[in-house]
Amino acid sequence: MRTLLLAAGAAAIILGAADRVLGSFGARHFLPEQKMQAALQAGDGCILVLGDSRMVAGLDERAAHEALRRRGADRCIADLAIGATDVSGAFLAARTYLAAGRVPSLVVVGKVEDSLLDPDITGPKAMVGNNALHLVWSTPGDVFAEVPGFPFASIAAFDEGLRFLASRATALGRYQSLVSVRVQRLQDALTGTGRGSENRFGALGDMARLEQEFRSHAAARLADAVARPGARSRWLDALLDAVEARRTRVVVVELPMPEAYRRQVSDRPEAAAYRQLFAAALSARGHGFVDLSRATWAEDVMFADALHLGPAGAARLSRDLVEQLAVTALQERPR
Amino acid sequence: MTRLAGWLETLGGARPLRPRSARGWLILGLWWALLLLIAYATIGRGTKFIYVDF
Repeated sequence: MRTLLLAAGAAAIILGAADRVLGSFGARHFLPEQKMQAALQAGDGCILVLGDSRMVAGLDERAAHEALRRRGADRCIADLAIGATDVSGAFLAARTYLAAGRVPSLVVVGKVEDSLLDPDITGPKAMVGNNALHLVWSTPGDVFAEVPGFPFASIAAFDEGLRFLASRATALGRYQSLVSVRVQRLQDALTGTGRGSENRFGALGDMARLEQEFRSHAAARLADAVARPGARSRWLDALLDAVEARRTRVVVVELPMPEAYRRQVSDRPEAAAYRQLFAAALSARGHGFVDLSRATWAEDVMFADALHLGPAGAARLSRDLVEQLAVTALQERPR
Repeated sequence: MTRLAGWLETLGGARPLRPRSARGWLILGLWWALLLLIAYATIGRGTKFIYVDF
């Protein structure tokens, strides 16, 4: 028995060491953590930018600073827009940033139609890639928000909650999906498997498939949001609460999408009805809404793939956004 | 050849390994850790859209 314990102890020591090494490596190389550190170092009074990869693609900091300077309102930009995340990730990013003591002058949140509604897929299985920020920036108490119904609503809720708690407890759990990506890339290199054309957001073919997926789900999600106002805004409400606690204002910006998406989603009556409800709900809480989805320059040629603006589009969007903010939000003092 | 077959059976788990010294048990523990880490690193997850520097 003692010898068996010796073997188990040796294995545990190696695994513990691997956990420590991965924890140290992960903190330095996990993209959301890198962006968080840069945002925190930018200081107080910044414009805090949140959103998914479409906001990442739409933000050209140089163009934004130039436009801010022209308006005499230049200030730091804390860019916490993170690709492959959703509104729950934006909330966690904002909460972590604010909890570190930083006070932004304004919070800008990128949105595309239904993207600020609560995500359909939640729980540990969705916490991969950049979305592993749910494991890195969460607290154990978040299990009740991350897994609705935990612990006793159902066996699935109990199981998912335990998986969440176990995964976030160790670096091996937090960064597993990222190690897996590295191994998959090694496998691709060894087998000579091509990944096809890709940009900084991933394979172009994957972007086209993702855009179709967004398109196919958007109508039903928007119709539901119109029929049951507020029922799908748990994470956005939490985000607004967190920002309001710092007496800061939020401006949500509707981002442009390619023509095919606009025709099939944005032009639908339920999309228009939701935008109206959304803007009114924001306004009632003292926040703002800027719609740049129909900017005249936002033609398909401005997009780098099926979802993301290219460099020229990002520069135009950033300038337009600052112009719109300058009219209202940047002139106002925090309440 | 018989010796190699015996090793392969042991590695594959068909033949029980009975280390005779503390050092042997220690090496067995390291082997377990290695197997666990290989399994850990090769668990596939849906991670298409991440563009991480990791």
